[in-house]
Amino acid sequence: MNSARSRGWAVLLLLPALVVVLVFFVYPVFALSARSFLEPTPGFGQYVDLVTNETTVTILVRTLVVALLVTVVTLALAYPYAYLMSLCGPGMRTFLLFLVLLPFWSSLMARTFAWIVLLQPSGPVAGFLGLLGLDGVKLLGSQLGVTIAMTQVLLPFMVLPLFNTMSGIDRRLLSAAHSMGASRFRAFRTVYLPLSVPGVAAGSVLVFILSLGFWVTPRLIGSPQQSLVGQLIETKVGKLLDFPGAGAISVVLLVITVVLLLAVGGGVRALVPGAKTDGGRDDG
Amino acid sequence: MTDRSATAAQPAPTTRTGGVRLDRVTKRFRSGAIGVDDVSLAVEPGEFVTFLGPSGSGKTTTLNTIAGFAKPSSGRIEIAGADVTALPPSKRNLGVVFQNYALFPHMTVRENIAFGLHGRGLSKAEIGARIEESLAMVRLDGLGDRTPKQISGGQQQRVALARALVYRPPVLLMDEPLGALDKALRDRMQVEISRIHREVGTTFLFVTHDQGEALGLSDRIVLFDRGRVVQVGTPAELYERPASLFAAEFLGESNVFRGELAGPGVLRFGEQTLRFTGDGPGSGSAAVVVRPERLRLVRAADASGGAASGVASGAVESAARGGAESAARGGAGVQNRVEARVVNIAYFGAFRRVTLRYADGSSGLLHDGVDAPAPIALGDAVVVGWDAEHAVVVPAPGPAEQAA
Amino acid sequence: MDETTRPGWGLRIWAVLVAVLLVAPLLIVVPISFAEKRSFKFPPDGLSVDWYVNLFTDQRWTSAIGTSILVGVLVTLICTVLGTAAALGIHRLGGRVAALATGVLVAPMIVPGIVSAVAIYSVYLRWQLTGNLLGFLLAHTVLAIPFVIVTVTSSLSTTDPMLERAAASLGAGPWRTFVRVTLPAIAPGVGAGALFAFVTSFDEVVAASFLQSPAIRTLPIEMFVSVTNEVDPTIAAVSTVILALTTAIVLLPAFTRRRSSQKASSS
Repeated sequence: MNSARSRGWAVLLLLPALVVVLVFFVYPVFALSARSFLEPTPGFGQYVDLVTNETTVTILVRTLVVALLVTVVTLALAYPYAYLMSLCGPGMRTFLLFLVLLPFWSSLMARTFAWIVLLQPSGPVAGFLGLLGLDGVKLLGSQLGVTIAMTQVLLPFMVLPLFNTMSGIDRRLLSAAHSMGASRFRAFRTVYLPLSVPGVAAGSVLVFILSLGFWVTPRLIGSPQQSLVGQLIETKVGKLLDFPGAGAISVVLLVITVVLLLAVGGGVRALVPGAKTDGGRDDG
Repeated sequence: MTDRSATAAQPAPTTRTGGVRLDRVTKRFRSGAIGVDDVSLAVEPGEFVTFLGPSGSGKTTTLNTIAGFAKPSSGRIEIAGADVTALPPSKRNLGVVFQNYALFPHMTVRENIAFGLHGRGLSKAEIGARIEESLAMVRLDGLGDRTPKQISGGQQQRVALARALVYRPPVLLMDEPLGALDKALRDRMQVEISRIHREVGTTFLFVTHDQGEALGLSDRIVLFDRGRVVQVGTPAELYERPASLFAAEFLGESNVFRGELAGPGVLRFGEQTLRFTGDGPGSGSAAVVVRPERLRLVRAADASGGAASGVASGAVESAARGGAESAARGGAGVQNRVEARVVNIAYFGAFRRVTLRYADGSSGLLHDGVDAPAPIALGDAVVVGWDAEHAVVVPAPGPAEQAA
Repeated sequence: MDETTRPGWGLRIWAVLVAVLLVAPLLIVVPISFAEKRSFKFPPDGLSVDWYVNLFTDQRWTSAIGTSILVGVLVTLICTVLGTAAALGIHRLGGRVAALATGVLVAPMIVPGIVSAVAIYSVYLRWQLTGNLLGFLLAHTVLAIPFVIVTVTSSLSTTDPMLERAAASLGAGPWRTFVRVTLPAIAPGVGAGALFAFVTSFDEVVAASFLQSPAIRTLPIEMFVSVTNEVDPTIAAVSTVILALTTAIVLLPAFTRRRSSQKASSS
């Protein structure tokens, strides 16, 4: 086609958004990262501090543990749910999808507030635990409470990629497996499970990455004594104006994120299938 | 009624002005591959010309250069006498019917048809009248308010035709327009397209890989192979006198006897001499091509095989094996005879199709008439024959030349 | 359906529990919002609509709502126009350049939230873009634009590329082709992207918490401040209103689909 001219047009269309994102997002992230290598003196001083400071290391490890825990629990909760969604009739599927999309689209602040109410001393969750004979478990201001709340808040981000993958699996494959004498369990394990792996990978990476960068929920439900990395970055910037230090931790988070995205294959694209109707909303 | 009103609405003298000329058109892709290789072509106004060829032969790319969707790397394109090489598609005043119709899904049938009438200086009343005419022409009266999703594939095809013809372009381009339809619908639409071509008098350029469509629809066929035009002619010319082995094998089915030319009208096939009429290459490797319906069963031998060895002499002695000779019609008259073995027999209603294996290992086909089929069975050794006038000789590179 | 693939009871019970976990925590805000006393006690002791009255009369809340709507609408406009244009550019360009541009444009969706926020804050501080509307607009624009890019790009990739050729063959120039053919074809994607952009901005807490000043606060920031400093069930009222609106948004596609299919069948 009139390639030179149409390419010129295409570049012109692309340019405004690209400039805005480069100047007002990519440059800031780059600048913050750069400061961690340049201030107060050029070198890896910030990173040496980071790995030698016991508190920082504890917080990083704690964050990774919580993120992993949240990922595993959401996967355990979401997989059967998404599986059922892919099996049931269209009416039921729409309803189950509605139940996922409702929290997905809801305000993060509203959901976090709801968990403050639920987890407060003598609140509904404490009451329920009391019935089980577990009195006096500290929920609000504890790592347990943070994990519970984060699990619920991030659950939709696990269900949607799983469902996306599962709805593309031909169910007749299961029937075929049964026809060849496979038991229900064997058919599931040898046919369905392997085919759903891309969804598991995408959902797990998404939830893990979102957990790493989560700030609102830990900030409001957790405690400063048991903070996660988000709170650490915030404290460094907000209270200490230690941008180079915050930059160093940010670089660590960015590296983990990029490595995970590359590991799951296709990088960015792995998270984009949700683009069909839902996408990966990144609040946190 | 539709026939007459549509014809009346189409003032006959204004049409038949839309010739298309391609002058040494070449299209090289950015990858370096050559899509169209030095194609020159003249299409007469009002003609129905089909571009036929296998996929990747350059027929669609050639159509795209005419439509303006692809810019030729070199060469010149004229439509209705005007050089359009540098014009964008929107300025070429062509009608195009796309493979999957490309109907605008968010518009009704009527809005789809009206789209091309925009900016042509027509009044609202004229536009309305033209749309109704077009709907009538493609026999879709009353469906104007449906959306493309609400009508069948065949109806969508008709809308695409109406949309491309409503502004009376001098030339209509169609890119595999019947590919998405099932067999029965395809046959019906072929008849419809022929009728519409007669009614509107527009030049039709039709791209297909389906030889049936090409033979049934066209005034002339342009045969493409690897970016080049290899033969141009009427359907009968292409079928009866293929100019190359490619033409013979792509269009219709053939029995191909490869050998060496041995004088005018003579080809050595193994130890046999095959005769043909008409011109051919003077010497070297060549092939005699015979269509399956021209091939006759000269003698059906018994299943014990070992048909008489005298075949090679070209005159079969009256072998008295089970009276099989009598079953072969007109066997006495044929000038060329070849031994073969029956490897498959399929009954097609109108004819019987016998798959043969010749002595050189090549396979061939024979179509047997419905009357008095000879009693043959799988594995039979038989003798088949044909008249010299029904054989065509084409250049066929020998093994050495092919490797080069 | 094959009987052997019918879901068993264990699976069904599990799904019911997950469904409850997904939705029940949202619903708890509803009773709290109707509490009589200034308390988050559940269930509340008495009922009143005081907190709704407060929400729509207290200047603190009303101005936060106003700011959020203003920022949200402007961000949606900017993101929809820039993002749709960029998606069209990416689609036309193709190849490695397009892949690289896509990578840059969706980066804000992938960078961890707190990292984006602190990075934005550190630079915007120098550029005097904190505590003012422009800073909010820019920050929310870059955070929301990936969603428009993703939805519109996906719409474009499912649109028949022949439609534009067809329009050109029918004599339509580039502008008419875009307005009459391309835009209607990608309209659902553009609409979804716009909705994403608005919700992203309206819901954004992290960057906003760094960029805010007492003079300019969005609704989520007002909620954040309220929940950290005081016990004020007005936040439950806000949450309930947002929940109601969200429900409407989620149900909207289902209803429009039904209406359009009714329209189609009636014609």
